[in-house]
Amino acid sequence: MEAAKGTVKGVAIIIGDNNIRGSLQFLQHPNGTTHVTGRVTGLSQGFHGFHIHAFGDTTNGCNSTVLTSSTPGPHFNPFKKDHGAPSDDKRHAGDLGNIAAGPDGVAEISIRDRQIPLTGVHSIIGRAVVVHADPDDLGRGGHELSKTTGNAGARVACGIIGLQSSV
Amino acid sequence: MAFLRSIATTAIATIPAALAFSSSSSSSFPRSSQSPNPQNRLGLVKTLATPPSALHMDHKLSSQPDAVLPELLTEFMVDMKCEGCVNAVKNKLNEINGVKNVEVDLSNQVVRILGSTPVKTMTEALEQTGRKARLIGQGVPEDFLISAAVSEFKGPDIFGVVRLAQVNMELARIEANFSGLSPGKHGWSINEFGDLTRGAASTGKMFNPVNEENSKEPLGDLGTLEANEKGEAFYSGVKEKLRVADLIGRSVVVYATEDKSEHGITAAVIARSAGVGENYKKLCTCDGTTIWEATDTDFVTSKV
Repeated sequence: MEAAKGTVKGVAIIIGDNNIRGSLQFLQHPNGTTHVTGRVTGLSQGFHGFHIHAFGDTTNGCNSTVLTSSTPGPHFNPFKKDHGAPSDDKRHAGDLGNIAAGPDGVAEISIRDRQIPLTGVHSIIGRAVVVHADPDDLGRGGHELSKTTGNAGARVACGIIGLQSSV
Repeated sequence: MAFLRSIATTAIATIPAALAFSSSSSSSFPRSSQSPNPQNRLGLVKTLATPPSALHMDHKLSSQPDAVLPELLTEFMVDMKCEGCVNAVKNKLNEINGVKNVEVDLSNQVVRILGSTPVKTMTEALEQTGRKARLIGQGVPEDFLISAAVSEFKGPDIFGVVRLAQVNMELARIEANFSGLSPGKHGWSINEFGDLTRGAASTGKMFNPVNEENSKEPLGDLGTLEANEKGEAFYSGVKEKLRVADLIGRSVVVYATEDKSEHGITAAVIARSAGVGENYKKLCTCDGTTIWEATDTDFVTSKV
């Protein structure tokens, strides 16, 4: 995508089943790091897998347990690697690990990452950010799904990353 | 794990065939700017053939009740298990006006259709064969970095799907289905931002790239939708100079009236969607269900 002049910003409104709601802001710094901030409410207490998926097309639902959710494409993985933790060399670009919800069901998010640019061919604009039901095992759980999705279970909420005015 | 590897291997092995089909399609149906082909009968194609300096600056959407859309590859995953299913699907699709060619890949349960037919018509035909069908890709990804996009309106009142697909460098197809609108005319547009923080109010102005500033109307002006007495509106047509890659992350906005001076009443982000050959997933590995096991309520927007 053509980069806007000055800073590039993104925003995603998170909506899920029941009362899961959230808002995320994405800001790309000149040093190449993208900073993700925001909060998601209405979650069950504990860790939840948090990923960016390749497509933002959620019209093909593929989830029989969460009626209001729908399935974006698989994880954003432009370099064809195994699923892993954000700190791993072997990870999907969209693998952002876990967010943690407290007893009040609120997860506050502040993540800095170098593999989720807002400009260029691997931009995450127009892709889906997804919150999962279960913790992401970061590829180490030994489950048959660990290396593909972190065995993070159903998708409970998602939002499409849109362009935001940079003023 | 072995099962997943098997699926991945099969999908990977098939993708070259899909691309081969795309190449074959390219040679069989050269783009309109290169040589004569049936599309020359369309006024639009004549317009495209005009020298650049004389190109019309008018970007109006082209749509008439019987307008023919430009041809496009569309892929569906269809719940087929045997050769009889393949024949039923092929026969049904070949009955449809505008379908030029149907290819079926039984092992991947993929149906690849070349033609001018709207997605809605093809989807309905596939479901009439009694088999579940899911749209999985559109466009010719080898020709464009991003060839397809989608915006989903998910309520609470207005539901809809807007699909955009790049046909050639100068032309994009637009298809839309809405429900929950008030009867009558509604303006709609592509706006510059996909920021739904304040709904349509935070999506900015109509999209108009710098090089289009001299045109009579912004490139993002999509004109007017007409909702029937049930509040449903359908649109299929084309727009010149629209490039799907430039629209990713922006938004589609619908207005209360034909006039677009107030904020829109609903908006949806324009998201990347799969091009042909990019999405052969059958197993949702996050929860282990297959694409067919997903309940129909998950598809409410794709059926709108």
